[in-house]
Amino acid sequence: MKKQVIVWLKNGMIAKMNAETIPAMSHQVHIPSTAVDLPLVIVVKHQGLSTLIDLTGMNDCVVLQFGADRYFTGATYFQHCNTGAFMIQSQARFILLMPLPLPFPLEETEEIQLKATEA
Amino acid sequence: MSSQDVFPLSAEKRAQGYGRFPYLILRINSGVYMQFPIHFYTTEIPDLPGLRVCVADTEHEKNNFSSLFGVVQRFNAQINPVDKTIFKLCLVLTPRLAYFFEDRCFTLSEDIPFGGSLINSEYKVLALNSAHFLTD
Repeated sequence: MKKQVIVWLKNGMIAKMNAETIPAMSHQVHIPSTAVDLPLVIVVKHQGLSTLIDLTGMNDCVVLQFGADRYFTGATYFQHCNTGAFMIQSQARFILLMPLPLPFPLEETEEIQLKATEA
Repeated sequence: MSSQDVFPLSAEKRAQGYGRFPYLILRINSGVYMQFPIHFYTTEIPDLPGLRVCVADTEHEKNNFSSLFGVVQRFNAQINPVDKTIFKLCLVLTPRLAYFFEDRCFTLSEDIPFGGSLINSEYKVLALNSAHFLTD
């Protein structure tokens, strides 16, 4: 299901996008081949402390991670990793995969908001 | 010349940086777009048309893309009066990635501006009914 994702930046600007949403119901997430278009957002629904995300086969992207309070907690670059399996483990509750290049500094990222897509 | 004729970017315009990513598009009106190439430099300001951005290193150009939202904001402040958008802007990063800018909001799009009349800041035609970037 697509949602409108709003990323608030520290200077008051926002980056808005429509993104496919995948709920993480268990500790491991494998992104289905039908949903590899970026951007993509993973919403962690399970009660565990961390989630293992299998990015194998994905296009290069930056993985922005946000806590339960929706504030930015960290990021991972996934680049030139298409020669084998690649996974990351994250404690985030909202995980946004954005296409590269990223046109703003990572440290400017502040908060994420998910809304229903605009008609 | 009919409205369907295709007129791609010339070699001369390409040499000036037109058609190279990243670039900024200013929408004049429906079907008329003004292109501003973005040039990164370290010490010597390039004598080329468009926007010039001073960076620490030009060897890994993609690393400099993180400054581009700031470049767009500053350019918008120059051309659009406070709290009033007259010209819409689009930052184009790749053939499949652009960010449209309006009212403090960058909207990601997989569709980038294409076709129409592409002009430079002196209102001279750069290309007609073709891609706004180099395709070869």
